[in-house]
Amino acid sequence: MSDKKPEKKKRLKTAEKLGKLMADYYTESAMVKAQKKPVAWLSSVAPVEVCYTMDVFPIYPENYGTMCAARKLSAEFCAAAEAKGFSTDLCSYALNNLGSIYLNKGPFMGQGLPEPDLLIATEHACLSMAKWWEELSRHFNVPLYIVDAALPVGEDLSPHHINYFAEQLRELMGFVEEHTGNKFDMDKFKEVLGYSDEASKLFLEIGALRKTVPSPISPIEIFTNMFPIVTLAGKKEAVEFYNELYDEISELAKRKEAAVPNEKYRLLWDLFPIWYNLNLFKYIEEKGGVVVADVYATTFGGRVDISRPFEGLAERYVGNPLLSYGVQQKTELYKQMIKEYHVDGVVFHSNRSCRMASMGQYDVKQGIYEDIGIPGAIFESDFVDPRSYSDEQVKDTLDSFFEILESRG
Amino acid sequence: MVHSIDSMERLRDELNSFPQNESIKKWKNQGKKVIGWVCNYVPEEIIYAAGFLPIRIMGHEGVISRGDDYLQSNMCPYIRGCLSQGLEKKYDFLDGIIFAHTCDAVCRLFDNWRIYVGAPYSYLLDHPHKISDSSQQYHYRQLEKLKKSLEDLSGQEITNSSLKEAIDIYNENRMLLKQIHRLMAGDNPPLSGVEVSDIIRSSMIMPKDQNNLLLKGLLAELVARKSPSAPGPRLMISGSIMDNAAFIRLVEECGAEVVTDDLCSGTRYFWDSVENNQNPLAAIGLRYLNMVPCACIEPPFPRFEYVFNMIEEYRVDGVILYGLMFCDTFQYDFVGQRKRLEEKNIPVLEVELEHPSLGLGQLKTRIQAFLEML
Repeated sequence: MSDKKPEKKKRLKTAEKLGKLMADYYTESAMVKAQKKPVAWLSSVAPVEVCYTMDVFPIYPENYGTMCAARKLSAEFCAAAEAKGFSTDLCSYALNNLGSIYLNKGPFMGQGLPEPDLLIATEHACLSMAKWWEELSRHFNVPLYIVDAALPVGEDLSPHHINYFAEQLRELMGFVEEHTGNKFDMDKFKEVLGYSDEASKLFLEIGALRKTVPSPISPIEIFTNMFPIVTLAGKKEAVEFYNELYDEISELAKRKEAAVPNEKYRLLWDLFPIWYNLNLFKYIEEKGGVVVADVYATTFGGRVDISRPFEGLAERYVGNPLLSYGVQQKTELYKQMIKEYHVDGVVFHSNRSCRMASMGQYDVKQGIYEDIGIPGAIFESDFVDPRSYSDEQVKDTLDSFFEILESRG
Repeated sequence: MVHSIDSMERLRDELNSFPQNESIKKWKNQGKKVIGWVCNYVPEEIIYAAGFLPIRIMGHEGVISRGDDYLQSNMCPYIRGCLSQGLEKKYDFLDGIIFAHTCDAVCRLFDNWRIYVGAPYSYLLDHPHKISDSSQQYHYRQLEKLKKSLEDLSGQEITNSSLKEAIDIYNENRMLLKQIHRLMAGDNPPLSGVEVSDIIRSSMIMPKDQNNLLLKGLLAELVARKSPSAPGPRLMISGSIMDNAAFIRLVEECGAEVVTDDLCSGTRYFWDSVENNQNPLAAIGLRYLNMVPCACIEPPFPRFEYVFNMIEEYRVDGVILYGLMFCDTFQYDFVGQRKRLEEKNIPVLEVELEHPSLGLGQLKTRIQAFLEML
């Protein structure tokens, strides 16, 4: 069994740096109101580069949801949103965030997030984002801009898909100018995009180092190291951080140093972690399983062609595998990843909150098994709301899966 | 007793024998193709102009979902119902499918349909989730692509004149449905809410020119018809898709008159017409982009306004917010919508259904209590 004593010393040297980046960000977020800096709340995969270009402080209620879950506050917050009439079947990121607003509570010094002056969302990840942000706009009575990404599932990406997003990015700059008085500056924009692209490039390269056997980085390390690419894309600090992280991980890869001892079964993970129970990865590791690949983290990386700033930024967001792949495309992508990452099995987290991402898992699992004989297991849970979580059921599913993997030798 | 009327019976027949009814058989016997569609945002005129019959795919009243074998249980029951019908081979006569990618559930139905049901031709049209100038351009490009794809399927060009003709026939259908529906605004309306629902849904199946003839006949017959039900509280139903009339029947059995709705399977299907005065493809695009929106389109306000206008015009006494389980976008809207309605002192009953037609009995007491309050 794992050591119950609090882990003082993290395995990675860069962990300390990551902690500092996060602390700095949240310290700034606590002071930003006093500094009269405009605050925008962004949905996941919304173009944060716009904020850094326009000198607006970005807040991610989803990222915050993962923290509320980790600090065991999400059950109370979700229930508070339900008391206001929201259905319990809605996304727990949304319920958690709305509930924390209604209760005016949160994990930082008991407080909620600094209130938004602007709201920016995409419908890219799912429709819930737009609806959740509409509710935020109604609650705070502040302006909302929704970037509607083309979702060409099963279509080849054409310039008009990109142009639609790019056109809205131009509109969005105007929207921010109008509501903050801050002026758009092309040079600043290009500088921000340069940092964003560089951070993405490094982040994707770090992900690709997981192809090494044994994997030099653990899933918990990957998921916690997402913070800069999600929140700080467009900042120099993110580039500096990923440079160091890349150096450290590639060194470990060179030395064939395993992140997790006893790597027997290499696993592909679909899709979200359980934020209040990251220890599930530890359970998997005790069984000899190591998650070495996922598309969740890489979704937040994406290259930017800076010579065409708006179109280039649009390309970072449109056509993303997680967000706009149908079952067949996703099956093909996973088959490819299974080969490249030397994967022995696929674990699907059917996330009650995220129908968009969980629908089709049966078909992808089936498709992979039929085509290349790699087995998969599906377990159900919710990524933020622990109220109906059954640890035994999840572990039972995983146990049976490991028996299958073992029988295959 | 109210005597039945001819045209009404014939419209009902179309529904009763659906999916493969007489008019569809006749169409197919002429060697012409039938295309099944899902979601109001599929521009039927373009399919019709290509020489194909567009029909809406629906679940079936009372059928337990075989779709459960392929979809997680927390999936839209309407989508599960559709997939069940497909798996039961009820739609094997289709020559193709076109779905609009509006909500996530439709997108996944498209995947599953292609894998487990199969279709000789399949097309998923990404519809913008926003009403704006840039979305208009995007939408137009998407319609051009769809048109091209249908031309490849038929082997013939879709001409402007065939598009204009399709628009005329579809607009006439909308106008007739609207004329019939407006009769519900008066006292003692000549139709029940169930009948209105049946009429609207039959128009989604029949070839529009034939449907237009029946609707004209119906309008003439309705002049002399007395109200089929005793006066009761006048209700509006607003919310998710309703692919059968079981819920409306239950509400009317409790003593209410369902005089109007805000449903994509109801008035929102026909309320807006195409302005047939310019490039026909652009005109079609504008209609589908700007029509009273589904909850999955931003911003939601035009729909809220539509609801309030309906309440006034149809002198509505109370509103039922009807949500299918896991129909997220409407579930989000209901919170704000309820507030808006209550601020105007309009009574609201919110119901959540696990299936569009099953297990309704347990709602009866809640509906009765609501009606007593009115």
